[in-house]
Parts: sequence; structure tokens; C-alpha cells
Amino acid sequence: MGFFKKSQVKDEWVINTRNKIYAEVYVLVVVLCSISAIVKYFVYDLNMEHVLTELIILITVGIYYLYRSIRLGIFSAEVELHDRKNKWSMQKKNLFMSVGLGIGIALFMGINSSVRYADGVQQSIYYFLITGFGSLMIYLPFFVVILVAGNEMAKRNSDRAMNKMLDNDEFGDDDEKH
Amino acid sequence: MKNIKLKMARVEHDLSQAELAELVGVSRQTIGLIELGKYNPTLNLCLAICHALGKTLDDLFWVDPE
Repeated sequence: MGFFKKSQVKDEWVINTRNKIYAEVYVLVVVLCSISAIVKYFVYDLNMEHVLTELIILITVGIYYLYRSIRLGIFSAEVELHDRKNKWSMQKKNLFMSVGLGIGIALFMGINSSVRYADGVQQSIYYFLITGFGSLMIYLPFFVVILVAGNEMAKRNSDRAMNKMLDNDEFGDDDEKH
Repeated sequence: MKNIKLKMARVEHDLSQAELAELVGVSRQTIGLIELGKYNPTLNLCLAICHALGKTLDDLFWVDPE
């Protein structure tokens, strides 16, 4: 009498395709918000408050993705897969990226300051060095903390979440061979 | 439902979850979750695991209907 028994099988193709569309929608929203913010700020010369909504959307979705990927453990899995496939580990890449960003912004600030505000070559060099060094002192630690330490902390929390998930095994299964 | 057969096959080959994961090309967490029955792998992943362990789909993933 299985006529009224509902099938437990779900249509995986429909679910997977729908998830693919959701992922595309996410990318679309991020791209549209970024374009809107750039156009408003640079083309129409509007203040920061006019692009606040776009910034909030971009930052919120980023934080939400990070939070969920840590809680569900895929953050550490992604790092593991990345480190296995690439010559440079994620940590090393983040370190170089933070140093590069710090130096890049410091150079930009230094050049901007010397071109805009200095009179004469000597003052230009002085302004460049002072502003560049000051910016380096601010931005280098900032990016190192955000990218390197933040990544490490996220990975540890993700590992902890995943271990908790894998520990719910009464047989005591873990990564051991027995 | 836990996949004891997968765990037994892995142990037979003296592989850790991380080693099997590397052979198959997935993360250790994925293998752990499949063994715990918390993640349903796709047919492609099932086949990759079977090939890595020298087993058939029947050996590792067959479940009798309730």
C-alpha cells in the first residue's frame, strides 16, 4: 500500500540549479552595488553618505558569508584545498598582499601629498617621506591584522566548528587511521 | 546514517581521512562528514572515492530500502 507514501527523494537537479542561480544573483547584486557606488562617488561627485546604502550591502554580505563559512567549517576546508593545490599557502599570500597594500597606499599618500602641497623639490621629498612613512606605519599593521591575523583567527574558529561537527560520532571517529 | 563501510574500506587501505581526501581531491572535512552520514556526496564523488579505495559503489554506498 505504497500509494500514499511520499517519496523521500528530492529533485537534486532543481535544487542544485536553483542554488547556482542564487550564487549568480549574489554576484549580480555585488557587481550592481559596486557600479552604483563608483558612479555616484566618482561620476556624479556625491558624498560618502550617498553611497552608504551600497557600502552597507557590500559589507553586510561579505561579513555574512565569512560568518557562515566559519560556522559551517568550509572556511578551513577552502584554506586546506587552496594550500594543497598552490605552491604558496593562503597565509603567505595574505602576508604578501597586506605588505603590498600597505606599501602601495603609503606610496600613493606620499606622492599625493608631495604633488599637492609641497613647494620645491626639497619640500616634495620631505612631504613624500613624512606622509609615506606615516601612512606605512598606519596601513601596514592594519592590513597585517585584518588579513593575516583575521584569516588565522577565522581558520581556527572554522576548525573548531568543523571538529565539533565531526566529534558528534559515538564511535570516536577522527582523522586517525584506526 | 553513518557510512561504516567507507570507514572500514579506508582503514583497510591504512589511510587517514586526510590522506583519502587528498587522493580524491576533496577536503578532510568532506570525507569526515560523508563517514558520519552528514553529507550526501554526488555520484562523481562517490565514484572517485570508490576508485581510490578499489571498491564498487555497491561495496561502499549501497543501502537496502527500508
